[in-house]
Amino acid sequence: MAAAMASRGDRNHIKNAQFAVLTAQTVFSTGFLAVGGLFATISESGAWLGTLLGALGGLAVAGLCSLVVQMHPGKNLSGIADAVLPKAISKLVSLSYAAYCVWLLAAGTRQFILAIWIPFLQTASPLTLAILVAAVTLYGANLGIEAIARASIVFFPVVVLSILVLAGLSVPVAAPGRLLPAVGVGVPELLRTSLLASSFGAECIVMMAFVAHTNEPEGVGRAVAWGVLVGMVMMAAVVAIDTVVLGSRAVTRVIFPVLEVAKLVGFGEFLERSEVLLLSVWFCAALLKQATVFHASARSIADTLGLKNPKLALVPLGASLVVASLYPTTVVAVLEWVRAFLRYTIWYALGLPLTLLVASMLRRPERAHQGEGRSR
Amino acid sequence: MAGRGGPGGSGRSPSQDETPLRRIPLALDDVEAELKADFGDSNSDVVMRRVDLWTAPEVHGLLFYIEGLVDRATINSVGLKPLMHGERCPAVDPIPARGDVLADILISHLVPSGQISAVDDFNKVIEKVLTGEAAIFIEGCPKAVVFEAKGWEHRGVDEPSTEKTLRGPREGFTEVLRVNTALVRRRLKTPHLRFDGTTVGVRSKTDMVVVYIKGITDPELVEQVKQRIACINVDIVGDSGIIEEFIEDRPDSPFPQLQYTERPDRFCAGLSEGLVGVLVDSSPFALMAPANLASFFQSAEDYYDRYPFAGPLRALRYVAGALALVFPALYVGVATYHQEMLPTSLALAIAGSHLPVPFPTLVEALLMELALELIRESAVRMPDPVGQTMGFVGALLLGDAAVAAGLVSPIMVIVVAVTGLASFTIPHYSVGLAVRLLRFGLLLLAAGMGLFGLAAGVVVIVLHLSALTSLGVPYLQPMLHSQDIFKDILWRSPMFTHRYRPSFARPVDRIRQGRSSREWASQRQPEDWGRDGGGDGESR
Repeated sequence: MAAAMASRGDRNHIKNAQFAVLTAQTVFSTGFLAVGGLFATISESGAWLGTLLGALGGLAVAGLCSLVVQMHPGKNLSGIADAVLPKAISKLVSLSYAAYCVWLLAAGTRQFILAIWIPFLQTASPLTLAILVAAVTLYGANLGIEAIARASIVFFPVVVLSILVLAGLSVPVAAPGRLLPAVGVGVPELLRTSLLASSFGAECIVMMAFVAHTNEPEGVGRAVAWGVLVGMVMMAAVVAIDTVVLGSRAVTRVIFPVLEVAKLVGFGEFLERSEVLLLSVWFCAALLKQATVFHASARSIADTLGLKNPKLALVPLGASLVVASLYPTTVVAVLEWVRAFLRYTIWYALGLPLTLLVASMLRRPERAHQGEGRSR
Repeated sequence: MAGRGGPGGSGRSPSQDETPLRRIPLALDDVEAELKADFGDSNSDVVMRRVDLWTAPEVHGLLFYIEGLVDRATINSVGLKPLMHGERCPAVDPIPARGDVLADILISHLVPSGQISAVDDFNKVIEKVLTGEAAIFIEGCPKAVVFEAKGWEHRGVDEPSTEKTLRGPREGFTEVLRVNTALVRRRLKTPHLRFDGTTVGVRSKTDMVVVYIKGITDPELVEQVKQRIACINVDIVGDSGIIEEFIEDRPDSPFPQLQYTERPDRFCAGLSEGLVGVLVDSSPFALMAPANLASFFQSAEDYYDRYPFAGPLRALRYVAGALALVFPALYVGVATYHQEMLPTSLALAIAGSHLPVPFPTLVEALLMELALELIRESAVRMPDPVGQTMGFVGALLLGDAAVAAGLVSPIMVIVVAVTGLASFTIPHYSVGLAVRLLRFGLLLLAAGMGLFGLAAGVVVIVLHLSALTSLGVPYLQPMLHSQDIFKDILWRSPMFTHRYRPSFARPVDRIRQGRSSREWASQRQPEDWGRDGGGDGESR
């Protein structure tokens, strides 16, 4: 009765369309800032194609996650791990997942802080910015995934629109020939680029923490796949815009090429420089992504430590996010950090659902056998 | 009493429910003594009128009522006249001079009142008399005859002062519950309209009704409202605003979670969409639930004006709402941190106008915003003509004097004036209040971290709105449904396209109108093509 009086909606349950938007936002919203420079260093004019091909890696992770989820309907990552793995290994899986999320959080926050601080807010302290990001992230995570999903529905279309506007405004200064040759310096480099890019697509693994929160469990896999596809196509579009406006060489010389592109385009006489406005819009989506990842990591830590209330993990995690997002202190080190993240996380993102899938398949005959035994 | 079904006496405190039956004394002297013990000797409005009933032999009676709560004419014609100048009644002739049967005879044959009953609990009698009824005690009778005699002074049906429209009905709710229920009944002539009554307030015993249309409104929603009202255990309920605070999901949120209206037409429209209404005696504001953000940007006039105008006006209100929320913060952020965004001439103009001002832009903005709030608040408290004059004069003088004194720049005056105008376009005062409050927070964030602080603030507000619910229904729900957004949310499409009721209240019956409302338009013959102008009257 009390529950009925308090609420009649499906609290903490989200639709698959919202799930797809959350996934796309998670995949796209922080990595796109520096991605042009990182990939153009490897495959020059082929960076955009490499990024697009990277979607395949993300889709592979989404597919594996979908298979695992179908075998364990109504369970989140920790629940699935608990069901198919020995307890100690299950805890280790949850902990590693939390570590992955924290790394993702710190890398994303650090990138955004630098993107805001260096060109626009040198008078403010990075610590203040880190506190601001952590506070908003913590607030969002505290409200729950349903609130984040609804807010994402408001902001993500604006981000998509902003990329379209950027593309439209870039037309007068763009040289489409800069995208050729499409394979860049060679196929091996292109494949390397796509492997690194797939790490962004693989960020969809964050959604494993919320699969039990959807209203339509049967379509979760498709929703995640769509999210990965949209996110990676947008990222490839950003790399392509960077390349056609700046050229593949110039892209490698700047930290955040997309901001340089935004500096070169404007809304005519009314707004001479649009990069602050665009970065503010992207910042909104980034905050929501951070809140999503923060919520996932808090959940995972709570599961690992056996906390009944996941909110207990929020404050210490928020404090550690503030500290982690202040390091490394130099831009070069940050980019190295991002490179390391891209190099390794795809393997983790592939390995985690694969492990769970194999374990589930191994446990299935065992369970069937136990079931038969009981029926007798 | 008719119309007092309700949720089983809900709204009473537990202590009231447990009160044992207090019997009515048989001797009138004892009745009078008990009444005096309860009310005291000095209450000049408490009337205890001794009468002798015209039976043979005479039986003594006591008419008890509160002066001011009853209509004197009703007391005289319905109460005193039948008791003192009774006519012959063939069915019960001769009338027995026994108190114990007289009560039933008075009810069935003599007292001409539509709402009349025999009550055997002394406390109940007092309770009813305090709500404007009159009681007749009879010597030797263990029951009192209680009849409807309400008739206090009240404001007539007038134009709503907070929801004025150029087109549409001019009637507004009043402070009298029964007038308000009649205003609703007059517009919704369906037997399925329900007024489930209850009383709230241990001492005020305020009458209120939960209103809904059976067959349209989700019964779960109605039950939820009734349960929340039943939990209220408060001394006095002076207005529906007090009820609102008790039954809303998140009282700590700046955003209202229940709609309120002074307009019966708007109230009825809400009921027909499957909302639950609450009318409270002594309040001209009716509550409606569930609410959502979009409902606070809708005005009754949207539906009375033709849609080519109503749609853009609705959209303008959203733009104005956004401006009212972020414009000063946007200005402070851009002027302080992101001057490069602006065309050089504008940036120079802003810098030049700010040159004589000794304060940073934030302080300047805070000063002007504070002045605006002072003017607004003082204008509200003044009598109407004085308030309007004060608003204009205050704004003109203060703005002009502040610029002349070099305390604020002319551009800041423009920014604050535009913000003030924009906030007046929000049809609901309570949302305007939320916007005014949040504007200060955004100002501080923009002053600290430019557009990024502003963006973070907006994200927090949207997250808060996303988590907010009204009776469990998500606050942003209709705004996130792409198929409804241009039907009746951001825009108002033609009325004949509103085939379905809005889904957010989960109405039982979703179909609002048939497909055939404009069937004649589809039945035009091909030869009618090009004759939309009426053919110069040739059809005549």
